[in-house]
Amino acid sequence: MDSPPEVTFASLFFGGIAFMLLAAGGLVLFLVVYQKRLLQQQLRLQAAEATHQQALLAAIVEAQELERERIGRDLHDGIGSTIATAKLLVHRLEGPQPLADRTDLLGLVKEIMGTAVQDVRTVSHSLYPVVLARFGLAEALQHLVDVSNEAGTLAVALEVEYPRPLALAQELALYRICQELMHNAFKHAAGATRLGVQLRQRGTLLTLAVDDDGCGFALPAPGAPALAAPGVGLRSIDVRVQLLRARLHRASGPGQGTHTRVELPAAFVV
Amino acid sequence: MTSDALFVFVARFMEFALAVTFLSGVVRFRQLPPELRCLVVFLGLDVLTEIASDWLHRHHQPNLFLFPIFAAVEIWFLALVYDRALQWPAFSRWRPWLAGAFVAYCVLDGWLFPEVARFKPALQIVESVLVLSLVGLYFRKLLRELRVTRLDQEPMFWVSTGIVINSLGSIQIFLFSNYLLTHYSNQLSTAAWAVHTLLNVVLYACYCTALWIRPRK
Repeated sequence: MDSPPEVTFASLFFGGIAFMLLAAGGLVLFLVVYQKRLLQQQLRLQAAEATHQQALLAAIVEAQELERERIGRDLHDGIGSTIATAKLLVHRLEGPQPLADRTDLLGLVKEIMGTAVQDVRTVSHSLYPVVLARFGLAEALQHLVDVSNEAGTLAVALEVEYPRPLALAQELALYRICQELMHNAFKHAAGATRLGVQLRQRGTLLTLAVDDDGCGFALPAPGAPALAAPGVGLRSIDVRVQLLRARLHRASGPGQGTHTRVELPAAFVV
Repeated sequence: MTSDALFVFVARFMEFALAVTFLSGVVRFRQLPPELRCLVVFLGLDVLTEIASDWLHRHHQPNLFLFPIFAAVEIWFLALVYDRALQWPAFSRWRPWLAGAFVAYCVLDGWLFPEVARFKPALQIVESVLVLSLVGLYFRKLLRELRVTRLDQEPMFWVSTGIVINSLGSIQIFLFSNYLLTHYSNQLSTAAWAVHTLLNVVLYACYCTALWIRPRK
């Protein structure tokens, strides 16, 4: 290896090998670093997902507990006290009473028992909307609106355009969302004169919209942290929207009413 | 130390590294996953090839004809190793055809163009490209599936690292092997093959690491 051309070639040749070895080392190093970065990113995503799932689970459990509490209260304050009154009247019927009083008492017991039956129907309907299972979402919403209008606190208008019914589970979720949104409007939309409910199925999109012209509220700016944790009702709406894989849009402002829209693309219709 | 003496020393060192790696594989054979068992069998054949090559060299007989045979065996077994590691049905379907095509190429090349004094750079380059492709598929799987939390605890990562270093480093030596013989001194050619032998030592060190570590997923 004495001639100058050979020395030149040798340096080029071995330099080339060294370059290839550096390239091999660089490739392996890149793989290690990039894989580690991807792995960390995946772990972060999994952690965020787990936190989110935990929050959803907590919301579901809390909603269940509140629902049980409400049912218990309804049973105790409503049906329980009605039946207790009926029992008292039945005891009085056992005693020596003039015939006219007995007839009046019997009539009263019948009336009270009728009220109790009505209360049981109301509670059972709130637990599971039978109309929904029998006649579908459109009829169930109509029934919900009719019952609300009978209560008479706020006029509710319903518009339905629903030619292709969804599966029962999806209809039930939409019904619960609508029920919760209407409940929120009755409770919080002070000064509202109308409440509109719309169910529209156009093209590939199904939209459920609930709008009121009440006092409204200031929504937090997009991306800004919420000042307070949302209530159970709102969280249960979020949970159901996620289960449906739908999109939820809220618009509100002081004095501007509240407009809520749930959009369900056809791709997620079972 | 002359370049020949240096080459002999490096070659002995490589043989020692190969023997240690093969023995490590034999000792741990029962605990090894299927892909590494294939690697141990291949290392056994590598040991036999080295013994045959050494024996022929000592008896002043040409041993270059062994190279296409070894290349065919290497591709066949490495394809098997990566087939077990990748576990992709598409690759399993195509593997026998791809490896078989290379084996057929080696057989035809050795039969139709027998060489006793010159290397076969084309065959060596094709082999390197095929082996690097297998490694590429494995690295792609690592990045796509992200199942391995620690690469240093993953045997196939070490196998692949050894192959990448060995193949990329050797490509230039394969390309210029005959050119070095005809245009420059024997000393330079010997030095080049000494580098290749050192790269083989690195490869066997990586194989040995892969055979000794316990995989942690």
